[in-house]
Amino acid sequence: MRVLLVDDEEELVSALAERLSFRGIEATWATSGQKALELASKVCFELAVLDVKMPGMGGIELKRKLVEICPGIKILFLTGHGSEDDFRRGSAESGREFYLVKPVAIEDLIKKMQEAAK
Amino acid sequence: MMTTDTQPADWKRLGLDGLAFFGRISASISHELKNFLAIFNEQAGILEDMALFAEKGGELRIERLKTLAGNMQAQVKRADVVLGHMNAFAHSVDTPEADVDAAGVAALVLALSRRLAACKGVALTISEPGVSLPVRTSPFFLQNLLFLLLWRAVEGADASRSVRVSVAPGQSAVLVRFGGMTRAAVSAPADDRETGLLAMLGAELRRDPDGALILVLPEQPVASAWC
Repeated sequence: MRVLLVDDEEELVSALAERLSFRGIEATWATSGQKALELASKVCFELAVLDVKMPGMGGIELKRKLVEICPGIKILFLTGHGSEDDFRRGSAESGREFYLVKPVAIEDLIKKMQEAAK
Repeated sequence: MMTTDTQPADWKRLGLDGLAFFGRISASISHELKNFLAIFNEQAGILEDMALFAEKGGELRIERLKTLAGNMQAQVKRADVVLGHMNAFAHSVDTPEADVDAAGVAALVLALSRRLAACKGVALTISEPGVSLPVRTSPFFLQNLLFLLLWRAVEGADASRSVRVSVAPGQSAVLVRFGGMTRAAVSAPADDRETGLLAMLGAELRRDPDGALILVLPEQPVASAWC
């Protein structure tokens, strides 16, 4: 499974990628929507884990652009405490069960990734 | 050309808008703190993974441990700065009137707004005078007004995508200048929230010919303002 992690906090995405790698899941990471799109134009990912609120391009806009580049890509949103409106928009895009709130246990994240990839 | 925007303060409106401002800033801070918790969670998770690996006979990488410890300490420092801002913001409602350093208040409002502005693709910079510029005012409502003007600047940022704030002494007043805006954003009339706060604080809003908004804060409160 080719996984893309996107969050503007480098310490977070790099640590998540390291922990996923320890569990046999190779993940590539980016700290902005623009960088994520550049990566996706070279490699078509099967699953992406996106932060909702990021400087510049937010996760919801990024999801729409990723789907254009990689049709069939599955999306999980991973967010801090957003507003009710954020939750409505995010869960409408990903499905309520694929909208996760930080911090998330790595086992729960992997379980959701596997469910989303089905 | 100079224009001003004042009207009598509507206390109910000021109170409700003030609560909305307090909520918006608090929510933004909670979002930042959630990010720190998520980073701590993953870094602690790496330590756990390394311990499990070592238990199974793998090599414990000391340099990696040192790097992780350093990263965690750096995150603690970042979180402490955010909590310091949150604390100062929370205490701004302690008293309806106080002597404050206008430059310090402006710097705090920028710090509290930086992530919100970044989400709009706008960078915030401040040029401080290097000396204290005391004003006697309502600390909370001054923050509210500064935030509204800053947000007007963010939403009306010009092609530079950089809003520049400077604070300088004036004639029995302190001048807070907001630059980096389109002319349309500068010349737009003040909305009800801005005019209410301007009246309450005895302040004035000017437009300068170079395309900037200037908030003129009196050093002393206007007698009828909120007493």
